Amino acid sequence: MKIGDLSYEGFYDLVSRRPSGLDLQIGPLRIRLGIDVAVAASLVHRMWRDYPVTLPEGVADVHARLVWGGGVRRWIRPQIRFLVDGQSPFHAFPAHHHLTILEWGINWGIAKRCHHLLMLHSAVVERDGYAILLPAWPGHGKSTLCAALAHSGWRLLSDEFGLLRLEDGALLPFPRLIPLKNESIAVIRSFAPDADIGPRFFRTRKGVVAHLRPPSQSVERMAEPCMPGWLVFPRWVPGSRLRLEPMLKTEAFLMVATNAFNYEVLGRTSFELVARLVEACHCYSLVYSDLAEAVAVLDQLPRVADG
Amino acid sequence: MCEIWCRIDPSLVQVQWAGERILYHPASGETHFLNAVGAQILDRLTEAPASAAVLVQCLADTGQAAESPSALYDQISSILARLDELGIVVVQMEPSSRE
Repeated sequence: MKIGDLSYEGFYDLVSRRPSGLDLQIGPLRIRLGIDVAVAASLVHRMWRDYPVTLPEGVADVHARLVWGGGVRRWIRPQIRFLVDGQSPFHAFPAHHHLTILEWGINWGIAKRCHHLLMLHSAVVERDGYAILLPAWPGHGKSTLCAALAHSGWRLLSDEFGLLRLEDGALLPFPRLIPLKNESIAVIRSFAPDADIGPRFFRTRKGVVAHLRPPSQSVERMAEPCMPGWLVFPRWVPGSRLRLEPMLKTEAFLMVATNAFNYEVLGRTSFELVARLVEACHCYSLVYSDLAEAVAVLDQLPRVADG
Repeated sequence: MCEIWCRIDPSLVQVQWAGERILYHPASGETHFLNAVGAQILDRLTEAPASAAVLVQCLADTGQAAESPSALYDQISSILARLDELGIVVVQMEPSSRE
Protein backbone atom coordinates (compact mmCIF):
# COMPACT_ATOMS: atom_id res chain seq x y z
CA MET A 1 0.00 0.00 0.00
CA LYS A 2 1.17 3.53 -0.79
CA ILE A 3 0.63 6.61 1.31
CA GLY A 4 -1.57 7.95 -1.47
CA ASP A 5 -3.86 4.93 -1.19
CA LEU A 6 -4.86 6.11 2.28
CA SER A 7 -7.27 8.97 2.84
CA TYR A 8 -5.66 11.91 4.58
CA GLU A 9 -7.69 11.18 7.71
CA GLY A 10 -6.61 7.53 7.68
CA PHE A 11 -2.99 8.50 7.12
CA TYR A 12 -2.98 11.06 9.90
CA ASP A 13 -4.64 8.64 12.29
CA LEU A 14 -1.86 6.10 11.71
CA VAL A 15 1.13 8.42 11.45
CA SER A 16 0.22 10.31 14.62
CA ARG A 17 -0.07 7.15 16.71
CA ARG A 18 2.42 6.74 19.53
CA PRO A 19 4.94 5.41 19.88
CA SER A 20 5.48 4.05 16.41
CA GLY A 21 3.54 5.76 13.62
CA LEU A 22 4.13 4.14 10.23
CA ASP A 23 6.98 2.49 8.35
CA LEU A 24 7.98 3.93 4.99
CA GLN A 25 10.20 2.08 2.57
CA ILE A 26 12.34 4.46 0.51
CA GLY A 27 14.82 2.57 -1.61
CA PRO A 28 16.97 0.41 0.68
CA LEU A 29 15.98 2.25 3.86
CA ARG A 30 13.07 1.88 6.21
CA ILE A 31 11.94 5.05 7.95
CA ARG A 32 9.73 4.74 11.02
CA LEU A 33 7.77 7.95 10.84
CA GLY A 34 5.59 9.74 13.35
CA ILE A 35 3.99 13.14 12.80
CA ASP A 36 1.94 14.95 15.42
CA VAL A 37 1.69 18.16 13.43
CA ALA A 38 -1.40 17.92 11.24
CA VAL A 39 -0.36 20.56 8.71
CA ALA A 40 2.89 18.68 8.12
CA ALA A 41 1.07 15.38 7.81
CA SER A 42 -1.23 16.89 5.20
CA LEU A 43 1.69 17.97 3.04
CA VAL A 44 3.51 14.66 3.56
CA HIS A 45 0.34 12.85 2.49
CA ARG A 46 0.45 14.77 -0.79
CA MET A 47 4.16 15.00 -1.51
CA TRP A 48 5.18 11.50 -0.34
CA ARG A 49 2.14 9.79 -1.79
CA ASP A 50 4.07 7.26 -3.89
CA TYR A 51 6.03 5.67 -1.02
CA PRO A 52 5.03 2.19 0.18
CA VAL A 53 3.83 2.22 3.75
CA THR A 54 3.14 -0.45 6.37
CA LEU A 55 2.36 -0.69 10.02
CA PRO A 56 5.59 -0.75 12.05
CA GLU A 57 7.37 -4.07 11.99
CA GLY A 58 10.94 -5.29 12.43
CA VAL A 59 13.92 -2.97 12.53
CA ALA A 60 13.87 0.50 10.99
CA ASP A 61 16.96 2.39 9.85
CA VAL A 62 15.77 5.73 11.20
CA HIS A 63 13.07 6.52 13.78
CA ALA A 64 11.84 10.04 13.06
CA ARG A 65 9.05 12.00 14.66
CA LEU A 66 7.86 15.57 14.25
CA VAL A 67 6.19 16.92 17.40
CA TRP A 68 4.95 20.22 18.72
CA GLY A 69 7.25 22.28 20.92
CA GLY A 70 6.22 22.38 24.55
CA GLY A 71 4.64 24.98 26.76
CA VAL A 72 3.28 28.27 25.62
CA ARG A 73 5.09 27.94 22.28
CA ARG A 74 2.36 25.51 21.30
CA TRP A 75 0.18 28.58 20.67
CA ILE A 76 2.37 31.70 20.54
CA ARG A 77 4.80 31.64 17.60
CA PRO A 78 4.46 27.86 17.63
CA GLN A 79 7.49 25.63 17.43
CA ILE A 80 8.17 22.04 16.48
CA ARG A 81 10.85 19.55 17.43
CA PHE A 82 12.41 16.76 15.44
CA LEU A 83 12.95 13.56 17.39
CA VAL A 84 15.35 10.75 16.52
CA ASP A 85 14.83 7.55 18.52
CA GLY A 86 12.65 9.56 20.85
CA GLN A 87 15.44 12.01 21.63
CA SER A 88 15.56 15.66 20.58
CA PRO A 89 19.14 16.44 19.53
CA PHE A 90 18.25 19.88 18.13
CA HIS A 91 16.67 23.07 19.36
CA ALA A 92 13.08 23.80 18.39
CA PHE A 93 12.23 25.20 14.98
CA PRO A 94 9.48 27.51 13.75
CA ALA A 95 6.42 25.36 13.16
CA HIS A 96 5.81 26.79 9.71
CA HIS A 97 9.08 25.17 8.51
CA HIS A 98 7.64 21.71 9.20
CA LEU A 99 8.40 19.85 5.94
CA THR A 100 11.89 21.34 5.56
CA ILE A 101 12.71 20.21 9.11
CA LEU A 102 11.29 16.75 8.57
CA GLU A 103 13.27 16.26 5.36
CA TRP A 104 16.46 17.69 6.85
CA GLY A 105 16.07 15.70 10.08
CA ILE A 106 15.63 12.42 8.23
CA ASN A 107 18.72 13.20 6.15
CA TRP A 108 20.61 13.87 9.37
CA GLY A 109 19.47 10.56 10.84
CA ILE A 110 20.48 8.66 7.72
CA ALA A 111 23.89 10.32 7.55
CA LYS A 112 24.53 9.41 11.20
CA ARG A 113 23.20 5.86 11.15
CA CYS A 114 23.28 4.09 7.82
CA HIS A 115 26.87 2.93 7.69
CA HIS A 116 25.97 -0.30 5.94
CA LEU A 117 26.17 1.88 2.80
CA LEU A 118 28.78 4.32 1.57
CA MET A 119 26.93 7.63 1.43
CA LEU A 120 28.26 10.13 -1.07
CA HIS A 121 27.00 13.69 -1.05
CA SER A 122 25.78 13.58 -4.60
CA ALA A 123 22.76 13.74 -6.82
CA VAL A 124 22.31 10.67 -9.00
CA VAL A 125 20.27 10.14 -12.16
CA GLU A 126 20.20 7.13 -14.46
CA ARG A 127 19.45 6.23 -18.03
CA ASP A 128 19.88 2.90 -19.83
CA GLY A 129 21.31 1.26 -16.74
CA TYR A 130 24.12 3.73 -16.04
CA ALA A 131 24.15 6.67 -13.71
CA ILE A 132 25.55 10.15 -13.66
CA LEU A 133 26.72 11.16 -10.21
CA LEU A 134 26.67 14.89 -9.56
CA PRO A 135 28.70 15.57 -6.40
CA ALA A 136 28.76 19.22 -5.46
CA TRP A 137 29.08 21.64 -2.60
CA PRO A 138 26.06 23.73 -1.56
CA GLY A 139 25.30 26.52 -3.99
CA HIS A 140 26.86 24.79 -6.99
CA GLY A 141 23.52 24.08 -8.67
CA LYS A 142 23.34 20.36 -7.96
CA SER A 143 19.66 20.23 -6.99
CA THR A 144 18.54 22.45 -9.85
CA LEU A 145 20.44 20.39 -12.40
CA CYS A 146 19.23 17.14 -10.86
CA ALA A 147 15.61 18.34 -10.95
CA ALA A 148 15.96 19.33 -14.59
CA LEU A 149 17.46 15.96 -15.54
CA ALA A 150 14.73 14.12 -13.62
CA HIS A 151 12.24 15.87 -15.91
CA SER A 152 14.26 15.26 -19.08
CA GLY A 153 14.17 11.49 -19.42
CA TRP A 154 16.63 10.59 -16.66
CA ARG A 155 15.49 8.48 -13.70
CA LEU A 156 15.99 10.18 -10.35
CA LEU A 157 17.90 8.06 -7.85
CA SER A 158 18.60 10.84 -5.37
CA ASP A 159 19.19 14.54 -5.04
CA GLU A 160 21.33 14.25 -1.91
CA PHE A 161 22.62 10.72 -1.23
CA GLY A 162 24.67 8.68 -3.65
CA LEU A 163 24.20 5.35 -1.87
CA LEU A 164 26.84 2.77 -2.81
CA ARG A 165 26.25 -0.85 -1.88
CA LEU A 166 29.35 -2.17 -0.16
CA GLU A 167 29.22 -5.60 -1.78
CA ASP A 168 29.41 -4.55 -5.42
CA GLY A 169 29.49 -0.75 -5.68
CA ALA A 170 26.02 -0.58 -7.21
CA LEU A 171 24.09 2.66 -6.74
CA LEU A 172 20.87 2.27 -4.78
CA PRO A 173 17.95 4.61 -5.50
CA PHE A 174 16.73 6.85 -2.72
CA PRO A 175 14.26 9.17 -4.45
CA ARG A 176 13.19 11.94 -2.10
CA LEU A 177 11.77 15.40 -2.44
CA ILE A 178 14.23 17.80 -4.08
CA PRO A 179 14.53 21.03 -2.06
CA LEU A 180 14.68 23.88 -4.55
CA LYS A 181 16.08 27.09 -3.16
CA ASN A 182 15.38 30.72 -4.00
CA GLU A 183 15.72 31.44 -7.76
CA SER A 184 15.80 27.73 -8.56
CA ILE A 185 12.10 27.44 -7.79
CA ALA A 186 11.10 29.68 -10.69
CA VAL A 187 13.80 28.18 -12.91
CA ILE A 188 12.36 24.67 -12.51
CA ARG A 189 8.76 25.90 -12.81
CA SER A 190 9.75 27.36 -16.17
CA PHE A 191 11.90 24.39 -17.25
CA ALA A 192 9.35 21.72 -16.30
CA PRO A 193 5.85 23.23 -16.07
CA ASP A 194 4.37 19.82 -15.20
CA ALA A 195 6.65 19.35 -12.19
CA ASP A 196 4.83 19.01 -8.88
CA ILE A 197 6.32 21.65 -6.60
CA GLY A 198 4.99 22.10 -3.09
CA PRO A 199 4.43 25.32 -1.16
CA ARG A 200 7.24 27.75 -0.48
CA PHE A 201 8.83 27.93 2.96
CA PHE A 202 10.18 31.37 3.75
CA ARG A 203 13.14 32.44 5.90
CA THR A 204 14.66 29.00 6.29
CA ARG A 205 18.40 28.65 6.82
CA LYS A 206 18.76 28.40 3.04
CA GLY A 207 16.32 31.15 2.16
CA VAL A 208 13.09 30.30 0.37
CA VAL A 209 12.67 26.55 -0.14
CA ALA A 210 10.06 24.62 -2.12
CA HIS A 211 10.11 20.87 -2.61
CA LEU A 212 9.87 19.12 -5.93
CA ARG A 213 8.08 15.78 -5.75
CA PRO A 214 10.13 12.98 -7.36
CA PRO A 215 8.55 11.66 -10.54
CA SER A 216 6.28 8.71 -9.68
CA GLN A 217 8.19 6.43 -12.03
CA SER A 218 11.40 7.06 -10.07
CA VAL A 219 9.68 5.95 -6.88
CA GLU A 220 8.09 2.92 -8.55
CA ARG A 221 11.55 1.80 -9.72
CA MET A 222 13.36 2.51 -6.45
CA ALA A 223 14.21 -1.17 -5.95
CA GLU A 224 16.27 -1.17 -9.17
CA PRO A 225 19.97 -0.42 -8.59
CA CYS A 226 22.27 0.66 -11.39
CA MET A 227 25.95 0.99 -12.10
CA PRO A 228 27.94 4.25 -12.15
CA GLY A 229 28.86 5.62 -15.58
CA TRP A 230 29.91 9.24 -15.12
CA LEU A 231 31.11 11.54 -12.40
CA VAL A 232 30.25 15.12 -13.25
CA PHE A 233 31.13 17.90 -10.82
CA PRO A 234 28.74 20.76 -11.62
CA ARG A 235 29.17 24.40 -10.78
CA TRP A 236 26.61 27.03 -11.65
CA VAL A 237 28.31 30.33 -12.50
CA PRO A 238 26.00 33.16 -13.57
CA GLY A 239 26.70 34.32 -17.10
CA SER A 240 29.32 31.65 -17.74
CA ARG A 241 29.85 29.83 -21.01
CA LEU A 242 29.07 26.09 -20.88
CA ARG A 243 32.23 24.08 -20.20
CA LEU A 244 32.35 20.29 -19.87
CA GLU A 245 35.97 19.28 -19.37
CA PRO A 246 37.60 15.95 -18.54
CA MET A 247 38.91 15.75 -15.00
CA LEU A 248 41.88 13.84 -13.61
CA LYS A 249 40.72 10.72 -11.80
CA THR A 250 42.90 11.47 -8.80
CA GLU A 251 41.18 14.83 -8.44
CA ALA A 252 37.78 13.18 -8.85
CA PHE A 253 38.68 10.64 -6.15
CA LEU A 254 39.62 13.31 -3.64
CA MET A 255 36.53 15.38 -4.35
CA VAL A 256 34.22 12.38 -3.95
CA ALA A 257 35.95 11.19 -0.78
CA THR A 258 36.03 14.58 0.92
CA ASN A 259 32.40 15.15 0.01
CA ALA A 260 31.06 11.86 1.40
CA PHE A 261 29.03 11.56 4.60
CA ASN A 262 30.78 8.50 6.05
CA TYR A 263 34.03 7.97 4.12
CA GLU A 264 36.12 7.96 7.31
CA VAL A 265 33.71 5.66 9.13
CA LEU A 266 34.10 2.82 6.64
CA GLY A 267 37.88 3.12 6.30
CA ARG A 268 39.48 0.84 3.72
CA THR A 269 36.08 -0.25 2.40
CA SER A 270 35.37 3.37 1.45
CA PHE A 271 38.74 3.74 -0.23
CA GLU A 272 38.23 0.63 -2.32
CA LEU A 273 34.65 1.55 -3.25
CA VAL A 274 35.58 5.07 -4.31
CA ALA A 275 38.55 3.72 -6.27
CA ARG A 276 36.23 1.30 -8.04
CA LEU A 277 33.70 4.05 -8.70
CA VAL A 278 36.27 6.45 -10.14
CA GLU A 279 37.85 3.72 -12.24
CA ALA A 280 34.44 2.85 -13.71
CA CYS A 281 33.44 6.43 -14.47
CA HIS A 282 34.27 9.03 -17.07
CA CYS A 283 35.05 12.12 -14.96
CA TYR A 284 34.19 15.69 -15.91
CA SER A 285 33.82 19.13 -14.46
CA LEU A 286 30.84 21.11 -15.69
CA VAL A 287 30.46 24.88 -15.50
CA TYR A 288 27.09 26.17 -16.60
CA SER A 289 24.69 29.06 -16.38
CA ASP A 290 21.98 27.92 -18.80
CA LEU A 291 20.09 24.91 -17.48
CA ALA A 292 18.85 23.69 -20.88
CA GLU A 293 22.40 23.78 -22.26
CA ALA A 294 23.67 21.78 -19.30
CA VAL A 295 20.96 19.14 -19.70
CA ALA A 296 21.66 18.92 -23.44
CA VAL A 297 25.38 18.33 -22.96
CA LEU A 298 24.75 15.67 -20.31
CA ASP A 299 22.28 14.00 -22.67
CA GLN A 300 25.20 13.57 -25.04
CA LEU A 301 27.42 11.82 -22.51
CA PRO A 302 26.46 8.23 -23.35
CA ARG A 303 27.36 8.86 -26.97
CA VAL A 304 30.60 10.58 -25.99
CA ALA A 305 31.53 7.60 -23.85
CA ASP A 306 30.60 5.09 -26.55
CA GLY A 307 32.67 7.02 -29.05
CA MET B 1 76.42 9.88 9.36
CA CYS B 2 73.89 10.11 6.55
CA GLU B 3 70.12 9.97 6.49
CA ILE B 4 68.58 6.85 4.97
CA TRP B 5 64.86 6.85 4.30
CA CYS B 6 62.78 3.68 4.72
CA ARG B 7 59.17 2.90 4.04
CA ILE B 8 57.81 1.68 7.35
CA ASP B 9 54.27 0.61 6.61
CA PRO B 10 53.89 -2.28 4.18
CA SER B 11 50.10 -2.25 4.41
CA LEU B 12 49.44 0.84 2.28
CA VAL B 13 46.66 0.42 -0.25
CA GLN B 14 47.21 2.34 -3.47
CA VAL B 15 45.54 3.27 -6.72
CA GLN B 16 47.22 5.12 -9.55
CA TRP B 17 46.00 7.13 -12.51
CA ALA B 18 48.26 9.00 -14.92
CA GLY B 19 51.25 8.57 -12.64
CA GLU B 20 49.52 10.18 -9.66
CA ARG B 21 48.73 8.09 -6.63
CA ILE B 22 46.02 7.90 -3.97
CA LEU B 23 47.04 6.05 -0.80
CA TYR B 24 45.02 4.58 1.99
CA HIS B 25 47.03 4.30 5.19
CA PRO B 26 45.35 1.67 7.40
CA ALA B 27 47.33 2.66 10.50
CA SER B 28 45.89 6.17 10.51
CA GLY B 29 42.71 5.59 8.50
CA GLU B 30 43.72 8.54 6.32
CA THR B 31 43.77 8.94 2.57
CA HIS B 32 46.59 10.82 0.86
CA PHE B 33 47.47 12.11 -2.58
CA LEU B 34 50.92 11.77 -4.10
CA ASN B 35 52.00 13.52 -7.26
CA ALA B 36 54.16 11.67 -9.76
CA VAL B 37 57.40 12.51 -7.93
CA GLY B 38 55.97 11.37 -4.62
CA ALA B 39 54.77 8.14 -6.20
CA GLN B 40 58.23 7.42 -7.60
CA ILE B 41 59.81 8.10 -4.22
CA LEU B 42 57.46 5.66 -2.56
CA ASP B 43 58.12 3.02 -5.21
CA ARG B 44 61.89 3.41 -4.81
CA LEU B 45 61.68 3.15 -1.02
CA THR B 46 59.49 0.08 -1.37
CA GLU B 47 62.34 -1.60 -3.25
CA ALA B 48 64.98 -0.60 -0.69
CA PRO B 49 65.88 2.19 1.75
CA ALA B 50 67.68 5.12 0.15
CA SER B 51 69.17 8.51 0.92
CA ALA B 52 67.72 11.70 -0.55
CA ALA B 53 70.76 11.94 -2.80
CA VAL B 54 70.09 8.47 -4.17
CA LEU B 55 66.44 9.37 -4.74
CA VAL B 56 67.46 12.51 -6.64
CA GLN B 57 69.68 10.39 -8.86
CA CYS B 58 66.92 7.82 -9.42
CA LEU B 59 64.41 10.45 -10.48
CA ALA B 60 66.97 12.25 -12.63
CA ASP B 61 67.73 8.94 -14.35
CA THR B 62 64.11 8.47 -15.32
CA GLY B 63 64.32 11.70 -17.29
CA GLN B 64 60.91 12.77 -15.97
CA ALA B 65 62.22 15.35 -13.53
CA ALA B 66 62.14 18.77 -15.15
CA GLU B 67 63.78 20.58 -12.25
CA SER B 68 67.45 21.20 -11.68
CA PRO B 69 69.16 18.74 -9.28
CA SER B 70 69.01 21.26 -6.45
CA ALA B 71 65.34 22.03 -7.03
CA LEU B 72 64.60 18.31 -7.27
CA TYR B 73 66.51 17.72 -4.03
CA ASP B 74 64.38 20.37 -2.31
CA GLN B 75 61.19 18.86 -3.67
CA ILE B 76 62.17 15.35 -2.62
CA SER B 77 63.18 16.55 0.84
CA SER B 78 59.84 18.26 1.23
CA ILE B 79 57.93 15.14 0.18
CA LEU B 80 60.01 12.93 2.48
CA ALA B 81 59.35 15.25 5.41
CA ARG B 82 55.64 15.09 4.70
CA LEU B 83 55.65 11.30 4.36
CA ASP B 84 57.56 11.16 7.65
CA GLU B 85 54.88 13.27 9.35
CA LEU B 86 52.23 10.92 8.00
CA GLY B 87 53.99 7.83 9.37
CA ILE B 88 54.62 6.35 5.93
CA VAL B 89 58.42 6.63 5.91
CA VAL B 90 61.04 7.07 8.59
CA VAL B 91 64.60 8.32 8.52
CA GLN B 92 67.49 6.37 9.99
CA MET B 93 71.02 7.55 10.60
CA GLU B 94 73.70 5.36 9.11
CA PRO B 95 77.46 5.78 8.97
CA SER B 96 78.50 7.40 5.74
CA SER B 97 80.98 5.56 3.54
CA ARG B 98 83.75 8.03 4.46
CA GLU B 99 83.45 7.41 8.20
